[in-house]
Amino acid sequence: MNAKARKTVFRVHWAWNNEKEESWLARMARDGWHLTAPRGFFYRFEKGEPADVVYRMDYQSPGKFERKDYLGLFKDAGWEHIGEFSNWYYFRTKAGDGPAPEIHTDPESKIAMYRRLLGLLAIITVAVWAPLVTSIGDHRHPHGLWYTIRGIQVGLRHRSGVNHAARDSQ
Amino acid sequence: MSEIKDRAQRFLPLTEATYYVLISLVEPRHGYGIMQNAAALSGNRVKLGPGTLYGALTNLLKQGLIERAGEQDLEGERRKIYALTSLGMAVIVAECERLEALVRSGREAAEKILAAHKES
Repeated sequence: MNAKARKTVFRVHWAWNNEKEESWLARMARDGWHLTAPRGFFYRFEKGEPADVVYRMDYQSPGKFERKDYLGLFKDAGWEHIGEFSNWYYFRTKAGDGPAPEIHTDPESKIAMYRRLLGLLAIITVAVWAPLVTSIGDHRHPHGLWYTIRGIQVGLRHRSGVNHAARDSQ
Repeated sequence: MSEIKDRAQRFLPLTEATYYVLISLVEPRHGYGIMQNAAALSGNRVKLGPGTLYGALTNLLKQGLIERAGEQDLEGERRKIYALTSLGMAVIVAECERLEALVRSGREAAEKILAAHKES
């Protein structure tokens, strides 16, 4: 057997669209491309048999996080941990005949996930705008705008999901 | 005893997931055991996803309703065991009393509706 074919795909996903990202990954798997490593906007795939699978992403804040217990629960429940990128954890499981398996089974825990994300986005927002605001009218240090642009780039990588939380709580 | 009862009231009402996690821990279990027990108790209706369960366990530990109680082997891997604290037990008792009161209030209305339905 030859080594398996691999490819890296560049694709931009917005913070509020992790569900879109999940279905895209499932479509790739139906074509036989299976995610091996999420790296921000770069996704590494390995060629294999087409498979009917479900991908789910979970956001965890760093800090007081019991990684071993957390990953153990997913494994015991039949979810394969594929990788993580900037606190987003990627999981995969086989699609059954019934409704798609879920990692969040009530709106409360989904809202809690988006709140954690929102906390980080708030910090980023301050970090992004503070240099710009403080540099207004300061001709010696007109670089605030560049910090802001850089900050927006960082912010893009952290997806916000306020929309989901609002929808789920209805 | 009445002090712990007062403290228990502050945690009510429980979400369905939290309720099933707590009542599953009437016997100490690991996380996967909680998932299986909740499904069994509810006739497979309550499925606790791992993301939901991890969040519930983290909150309950922080609130002091459950505690860690050693580890157990599960298919060759170490898994933490969780157990109720006395506050957690008081919360279960208080929540059951609250739910029973809810059902008592609603039952009369439900019976009237069903009776009217039969007549028509």
